[in-house]
Amino acid sequence: MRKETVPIINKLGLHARAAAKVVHAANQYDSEIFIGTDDEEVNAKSILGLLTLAATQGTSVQIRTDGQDEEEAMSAMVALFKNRFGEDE
Amino acid sequence: MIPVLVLSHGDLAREILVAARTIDPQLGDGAEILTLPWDVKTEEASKLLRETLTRLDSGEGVLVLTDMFGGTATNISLPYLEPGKVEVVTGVNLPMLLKVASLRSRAVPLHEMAVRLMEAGQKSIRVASEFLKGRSSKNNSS
Repeated sequence: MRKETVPIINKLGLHARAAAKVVHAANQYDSEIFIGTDDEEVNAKSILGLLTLAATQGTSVQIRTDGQDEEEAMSAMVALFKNRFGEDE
Repeated sequence: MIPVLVLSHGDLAREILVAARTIDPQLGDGAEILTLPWDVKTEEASKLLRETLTRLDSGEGVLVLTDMFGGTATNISLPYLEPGKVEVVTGVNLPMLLKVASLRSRAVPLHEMAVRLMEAGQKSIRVASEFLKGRSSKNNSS
């Protein structure tokens, strides 16, 4: 199992379109992938779960990947957050 | 893949499907709309609905999401209810449509899909202040 903490740096936070991108990226991997805040941890393959995090800009999230491709899954997840989910700001 | 038909008065169905596809382009195929004018002639609408259901069903049935229980959109769909063929879930909302793709990826059968979408739609309705209050009290106690 791997764990990493990343900040949410895009202006809109983990909003609906960003959450959809996380789900699509997560679905590329067999590993279980979870995203958590101080309040709760949710399945990264569920868009409605991700939205319940209500994670705004500046929130730190813990990413946890567990499975055969956990390393690749973690790299992809971290890259997505660092890349502001492909958003300009 | 079970097709979804969003059925409403006015342009609600069109706009909610546009919003859902903007958020999740994967919803893409297999979702259609039928909108009823406010001065709808129910016989015509019923006939059009029957034709649409027949066209959409490729063997796994069709899931109809209507705007409101008791409204015309729901009422004209009730005659077509049939186990395994047509299910109707009322009170469509955006989270329900966002849930469709994940249920499809797990090949959930029609009736279960209807129940799961209802649950997702209901669970997604929150009083924001109550939700946030629950969080802060949890944080204070930890």
